Amino acid sequence: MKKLPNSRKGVALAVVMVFCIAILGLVTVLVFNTRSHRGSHTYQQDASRSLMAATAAMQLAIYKYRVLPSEYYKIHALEMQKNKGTADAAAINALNILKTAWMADFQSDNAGSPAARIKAKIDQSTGGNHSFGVEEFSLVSKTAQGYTRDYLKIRTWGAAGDTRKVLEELIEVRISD
Amino acid sequence: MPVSLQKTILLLHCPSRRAGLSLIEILMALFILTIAVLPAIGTFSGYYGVATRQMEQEMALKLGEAVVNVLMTANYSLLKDGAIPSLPLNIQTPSGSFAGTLTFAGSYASGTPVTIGKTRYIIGAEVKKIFLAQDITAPHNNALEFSWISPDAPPVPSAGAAPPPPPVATYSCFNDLICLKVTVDFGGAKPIELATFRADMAR
Repeated sequence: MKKLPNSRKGVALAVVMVFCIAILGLVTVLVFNTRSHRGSHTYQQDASRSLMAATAAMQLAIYKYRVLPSEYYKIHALEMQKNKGTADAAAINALNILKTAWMADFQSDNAGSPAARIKAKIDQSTGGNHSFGVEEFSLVSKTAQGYTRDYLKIRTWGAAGDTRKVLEELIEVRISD
Repeated sequence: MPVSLQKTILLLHCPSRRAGLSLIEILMALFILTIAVLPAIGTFSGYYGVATRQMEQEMALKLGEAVVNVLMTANYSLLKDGAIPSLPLNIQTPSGSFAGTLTFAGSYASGTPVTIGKTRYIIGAEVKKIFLAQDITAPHNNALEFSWISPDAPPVPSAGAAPPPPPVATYSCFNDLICLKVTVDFGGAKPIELATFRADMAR
């Protein structure tokens, strides 16, 4: 009987090698994918903590307005004068000083400010590093048919790690004449 | 029996060497496959673990935020005095809506454990007074103080003298102010801890 040459010799090895290369490719993709996902643990936690810090800033801003409304109305009155173009240089200067002082209490980076004291307490509670502040604090009025409504527009920010969140609230207020 | 018939029978009973694979080939193939598959299994397992932990942490954070929201809307006076016996916890989870309670014992609270999938989330909360209301009869330094610069113009300084610093006034708050801390333990290395500040808006 004549022996035929074995043309299939090594086919199995070749197939296995192809499979192995495919599996190793998959493993490589997975390893890199997993590495990129590892950081997202911290990111998620920082995002939630930033939101909590921004909420704290919002509470502080509303609270200050509630306990010291007349101090804010002085700023608002000067701002209205400035917008109408009736404010002189002294009034504009006073506005800048008052507004800076009003906002300084809300910034956690200002040592000794109420915000800095709150930040210290929050950091102590969670063992994290938060910072927060108020970006905008203004009174906006909307005039429609027969009524004028006033709103307090507050935009706060909170940060933890590399994550920053912004909160904005529009609170209806009634300004007595 | 003729020799040709014997060969035919032998060929019928013995498998062809050309049609199959050699034992060495199979063993080598298995060996190479094992080398390739073992790290793949390890990586899959690791990836699954990372994905699971990430999902659990995200869920814990969402639960924590939900509990903070519940505490932010609770009656302030009762909350700061530790006079709330319990608060309802109605939370939407991927497994459906969860209805539990946050039971207080003084300023500490523990929630009904939430089970989502195989993970059990244990909720805890703490209400802590971080600033005390100022007392006129016995002033203390633990009250929150706001400051502002008086809008009244400072007196004009005499020629050559340094300008006086702008007058700064302070207001000491007459409210106890609190810090809300929520902890969610999901069996991870470290429980989730969220904290925020809440002020008394009742005035």
